[in-house]
Amino acid sequence: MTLFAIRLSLQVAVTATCLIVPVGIFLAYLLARGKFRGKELLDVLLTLPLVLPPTVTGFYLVVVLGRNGVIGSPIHALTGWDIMFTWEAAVLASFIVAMPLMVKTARAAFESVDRQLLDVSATLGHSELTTLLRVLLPLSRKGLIAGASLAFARALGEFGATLMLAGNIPGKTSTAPLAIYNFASNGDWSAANGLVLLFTLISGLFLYIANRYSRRLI
Amino acid sequence: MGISLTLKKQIGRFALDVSWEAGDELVALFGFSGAGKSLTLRLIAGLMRPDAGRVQVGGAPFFDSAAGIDVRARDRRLGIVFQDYALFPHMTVEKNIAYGLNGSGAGERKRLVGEMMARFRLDGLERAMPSEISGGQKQRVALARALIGRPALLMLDEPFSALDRPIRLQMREVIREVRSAFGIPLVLVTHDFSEVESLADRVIVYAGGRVVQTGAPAEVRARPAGAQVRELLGTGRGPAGDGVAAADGAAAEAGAAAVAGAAAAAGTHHSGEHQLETVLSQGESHV
Repeated sequence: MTLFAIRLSLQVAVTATCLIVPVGIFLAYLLARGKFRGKELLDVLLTLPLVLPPTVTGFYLVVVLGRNGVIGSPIHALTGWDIMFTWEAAVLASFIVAMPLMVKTARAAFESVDRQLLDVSATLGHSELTTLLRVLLPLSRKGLIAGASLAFARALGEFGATLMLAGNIPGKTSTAPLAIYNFASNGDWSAANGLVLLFTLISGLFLYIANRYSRRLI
Repeated sequence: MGISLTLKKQIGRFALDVSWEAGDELVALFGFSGAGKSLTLRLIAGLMRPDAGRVQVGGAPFFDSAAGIDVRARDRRLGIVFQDYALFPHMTVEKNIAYGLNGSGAGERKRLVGEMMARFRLDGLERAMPSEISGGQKQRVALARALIGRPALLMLDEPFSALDRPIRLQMREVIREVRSAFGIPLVLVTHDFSEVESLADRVIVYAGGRVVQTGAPAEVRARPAGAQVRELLGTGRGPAGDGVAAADGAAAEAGAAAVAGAAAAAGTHHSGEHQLETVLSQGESHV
C-alpha cells in the first residue's frame, strides 16, 4: 500500500510537472511580454490556487469537470468517461495547484532579462519565436529550473484538491499524502512515520534545488 | 540615398517632434540626455511606433502614418549598437557575431564570421564569453554583429560613453574604418561635442524633443544658433574659444561636466525629460 502510494505520487507529480513546464512557460511569456486587456486579471486567476484553500480549488474543478459539470457533462455524454476518481484527476488537481509557482517564477525570470537584448535580436532580423528560443529561454534557464522544482514539490504534496476530484481510493487514487492521512486516522503511526520522513526529505531536496537556482537568477 | 524622417511621438509630458534627412554620411545627433536622441533611434529601428510621421532609409519606406506603412523591426535590417553593447551574455564572441546572420549556409556563415572577426581585430577571441573581454572588444563585437548582415544604416547610441579615454580615441578610428569599408549612412548619438567634431560630417542639435540647429560641426561651433546651443557646447560665451574646441583632453571632460551641470540646472523640459528616461528604461516595445 505504501509503495503503491509513493509510486502513484511520483507518477502524478512527474506527469503534472511535464505539463506545467510548457504551459507555464507559455503563460508566463504572455504575462511578461504580451500586451492585452485583462493581463493582470489573468495573473490573479492563475495565482488564486496558490492562496485558496485546496478544497475550494477542488470544488471548482468538480463543478467544471465532474460528471454534471460544465465541461465534464458533454465529455461524459460523448465518451462515457469522466475524470472523477481517476489518477488523471490527481494529475489535474496537482497541475492547477502547482501551476502558479511555475508561472510566477518564470514570469519574474523573463522580466529580469535585459529588454535591450530582445530588441537587438529583433533588429538583427530574428522572429519572436527565435528570440524566445535562443535568447529569452537560455537567459531564464535558472529561473525556469527553480520554477519547475517548486512546482514539482508542490504537485507531490498536493492533498486537498486531489481529495475533492480524485477521491481517496486506496490502491487507485490514494497518493502518498492521502495515504499518510489514512494511516494516521487508522492510528497506524509507524506506517505514517516512514512516509512523512520520506516526504520531508524529497520536498526539502527540491526546495534546495529551487533555492540554488533562484539565488543565481540575477 | 541616405535617410529622411519626420517623427512625432508623445510620451507622458515629453513630446518629440523632429524632421531631418541625411545622405550617405555620418550624422551626429547631439544634445543633452533626455532630448529625444535615443528615442529617435528606437523609432527609426522600429522598436517603438511613432504617433505620426515617416521614416525612409535607402529609398525604402519603413514607416508612413499617412500611407499606413509600418515595417516590422526585424524586416528593417538596420544595424544598431547600444550604449552598453547588449551582447548576448550566454553566447561566445563568435556566436554573438553569427547571430547577426540570417539563413546563410554553415560554410558561408563561418567565412563571414571569420571575415568580421579579422576586420574588427577579434582573432583568438572566438570562444571567449562577453564577460571575459574588455570594453573596447565588446564594442567591436557589437559592431561586427550589427554589420555582418549588411544593414542599410548603422545607428550608434552613445557608443563611447562607457569606455576609457584612450580606448575611446581608438574606437573613433574604428568608426572611421567602418565608414569607408561599408559605405552606409551612420547615425551617431552623443552628448560630447568633441566626438561630433572628430567624426561627424553633419550635426543635428536636439533640445527638448526638437531640432534646434543642423550644419557642419565647425559651422555649429562657429555660429551656435542661440543661447541653448551655446549652453550645449559648454562654451556659454560663444565661439571665441576655450579649450574644448581644440582638445580631446581634460578640457573636453570639463566641458562634459559643465554640460552635465547645466543639464541638472536646466529648467523648462526637465520633468518631461525625466519621464522620458523612465519610459525608455522600462520600455514600451512593439517588436
